[in-house]
Amino acid sequence: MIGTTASAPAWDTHLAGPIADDTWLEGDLSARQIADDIARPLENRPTAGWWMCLAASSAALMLGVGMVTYQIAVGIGTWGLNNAVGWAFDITNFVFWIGIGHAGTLISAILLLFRQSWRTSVNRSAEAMTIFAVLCAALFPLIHMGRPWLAFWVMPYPNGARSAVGQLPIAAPVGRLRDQHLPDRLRGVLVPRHDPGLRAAPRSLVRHQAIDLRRPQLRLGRQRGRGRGTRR
Amino acid sequence: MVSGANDVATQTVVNAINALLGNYETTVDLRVPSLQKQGDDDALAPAIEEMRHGDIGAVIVYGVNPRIRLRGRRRLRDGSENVPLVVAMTDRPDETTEHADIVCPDHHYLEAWADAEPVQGCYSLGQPTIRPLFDTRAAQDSLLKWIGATPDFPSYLRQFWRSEIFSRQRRVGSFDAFWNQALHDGVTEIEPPPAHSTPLPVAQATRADTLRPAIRAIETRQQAARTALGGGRYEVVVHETIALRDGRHANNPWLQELPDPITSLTWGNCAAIAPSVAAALGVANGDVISIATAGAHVDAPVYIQRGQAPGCVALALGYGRTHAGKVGRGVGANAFPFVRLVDGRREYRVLNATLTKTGRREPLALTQLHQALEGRPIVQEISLASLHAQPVAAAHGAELPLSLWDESESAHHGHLWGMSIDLTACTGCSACVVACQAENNVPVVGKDEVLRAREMHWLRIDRYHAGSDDRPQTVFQPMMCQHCNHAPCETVCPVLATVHSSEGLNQQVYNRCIGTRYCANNCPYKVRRFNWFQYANNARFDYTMNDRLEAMVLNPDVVVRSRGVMEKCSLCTQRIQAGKAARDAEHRDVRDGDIRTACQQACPADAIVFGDLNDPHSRIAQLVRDGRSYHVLDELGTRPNVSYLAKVRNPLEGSHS
Repeated sequence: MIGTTASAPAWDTHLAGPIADDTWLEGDLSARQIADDIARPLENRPTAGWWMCLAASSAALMLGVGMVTYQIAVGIGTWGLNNAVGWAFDITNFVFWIGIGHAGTLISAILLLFRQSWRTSVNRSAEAMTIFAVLCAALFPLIHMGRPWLAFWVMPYPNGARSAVGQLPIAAPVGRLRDQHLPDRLRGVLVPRHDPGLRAAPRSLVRHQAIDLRRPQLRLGRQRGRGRGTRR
Repeated sequence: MVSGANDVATQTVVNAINALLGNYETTVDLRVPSLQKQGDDDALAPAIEEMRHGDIGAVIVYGVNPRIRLRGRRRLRDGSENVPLVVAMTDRPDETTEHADIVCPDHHYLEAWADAEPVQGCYSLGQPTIRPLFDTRAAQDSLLKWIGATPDFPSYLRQFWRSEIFSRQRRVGSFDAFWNQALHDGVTEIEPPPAHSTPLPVAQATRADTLRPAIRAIETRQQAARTALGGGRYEVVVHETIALRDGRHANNPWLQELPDPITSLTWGNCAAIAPSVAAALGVANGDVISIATAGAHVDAPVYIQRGQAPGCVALALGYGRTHAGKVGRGVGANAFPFVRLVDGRREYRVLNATLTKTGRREPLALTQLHQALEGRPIVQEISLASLHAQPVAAAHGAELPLSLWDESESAHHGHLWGMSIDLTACTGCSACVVACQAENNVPVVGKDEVLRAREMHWLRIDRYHAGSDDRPQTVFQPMMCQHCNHAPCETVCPVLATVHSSEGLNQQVYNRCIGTRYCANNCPYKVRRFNWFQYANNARFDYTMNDRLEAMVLNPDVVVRSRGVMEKCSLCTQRIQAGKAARDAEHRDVRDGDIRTACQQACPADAIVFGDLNDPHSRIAQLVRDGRSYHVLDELGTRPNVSYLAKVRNPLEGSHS
């Protein structure tokens, strides 16, 4: 490890000159001592303070997980939102974490733009912070939904019903196939065979149409000899 | 002129004024009185006395709740304890059945035959719409059985109609035809008999020997009131609310959650006091005060009411029920202790009350906290004079902002449904709010949720005050989804759950909705309602959708929404569909007036009109062309299909109101 840090990579030498300079090291340390100093946090057992910090942050995480589980189980009403204030906790946290992410990106970008040769360790934490902050931020649009289990519906996957890529010409014909070329025997199972609504009260016709939107209209159009029944 | 007081002196004077103004036969019609409220206070006090003395063997209580209604309940209790038999006939347990010896469960009115004469000459029939759900018997059947009469009540009713009502009309020859028609229409009108007495002569109504004592009595009372008021003493006025009336509807969750048109209060009553009194007492909205008079004392939360007379505290009746059922039990404070019998008549006002701050707080479930329009042209007014001169509201035909949409693409070629609401006719009675709730399966959410501003009403009545605190002007504006042609909600939905129909409706597709609430955030009218919880089949919301009996109020034509989806006014799309289905079944076009929304149907003032804006001859198209017609927040370019007709006022010259 000390060998790699002592000689800077060839592509970096023309920028800032040699990294290892006598003035950077005070005292007469051997390479092994330096390596031990640097690697100590990784090679030793975690200290009591570390365990306490882990316990505190895990407790906070568990609290969050428990609360969000409760919220998803019971409803978004567990948050203090109302008819006029549709977003509060969610958008605040979303923007907060996006802001943290921006900060990490900004630190990393500025250090790169100013060609700081010592930026690597700072960049690593800054960029890690960005990634995890963005993950945290992404959580909030997900859990703020009234029905988060349907969150994938915002993705533009093709299904014919929705906009964007959804308008691919695949799903609609499949739906029509289902409606038009269903064997009569099956159709009788899925929807009532006769159209009682046509002879019964208008209310029944509406209910009938709710079961099978297409057929009564076609039947009507045929009855009247023109296609006005499809205007709906 | 109408006398609101239950007192002979005031009524004598009002009668004289009416006679002098020539109101008889023009606005006061003695031949067709309203019979909707009947009772005899004069007979009540002696009856209670007789009960106390043990002169009465049995009391049958039907259709009233004397245990809660009558002050001096102790005397009534003493009285009823001296009655060997108290029989209560009611369709639900209440305070009176608690103390009755025998309770005879009556049918619900939807299970029973009934008739009524709300206005003289106007007879109404009620027939059962459902087989009785429980082991009950109609009260009338019980009475017939007890007197040993053979026919059951339906036959008795039919016989009564044959002999008493059919015989008084000439239009229909056969009783069967008459009966079937009356049953079909639900109502039949009989020409009232010619007036027996000539209209009250002015001379008789204004006779000095009756009028002078009446005026003197009023003056004496005014004098007494003046000396009794001030110095920390107030007058208490108790009143019925439009929702619960005297408390008979206390167990109806729709009505408990119906905002009072003036205060916007739900789930409880309040002591309405003037702003100056609130300042003097050092109380704010929701601080509980103790109102004490000589014989009664009630604790109620304060509501600071602009326009309230400074010497007067107003408190609504009908609350504080102890045995009203799971919804109405213990909601609000009982104001009946303030109702006294004075000279055999019930007095709804008490002098010499003191108000003391208790230090407790009881939050008021108000649905509208802001009262001013802040100068925005949301409610438009026009004076009668200027209406005659130039009948155009300020916002009528306002210049619309630039549209980013291709207008030809959004043009509607078939129907274009719209609504027009006349603010002059609207009195804020809120019948439309309940009608909408009933028609569209709108959940009741309870006091806690209303306190969190999560009431679900698709249609609300906005109330605005203007002018001084002492004499504010008040306007009401029904507000629901405006069905914008350029709807801000539609452009932001990530899953296209709210879309525009080819007939101009802003549609909400519950199945697609994932509940981002983006649409509600973007709606400038704030009319979208979110299902914060699962309101159906949830014991936390045990109001109208929790069990199968409650769920019988639900409309089978409208889906019950699940939690996590947005909802809002659909302009009764199920009724539009039914209207179009009738068109299809009968091979004709939809006629203007065929389709009526629930709010329109319920509006007693005919302020709400629904129809096809593309039909130039429809009533709505004519109303939209009217100079009073305007759109709310037109300056935002939302192009709503709901329009309003500016409120016409006729201010007195030089007056500020």
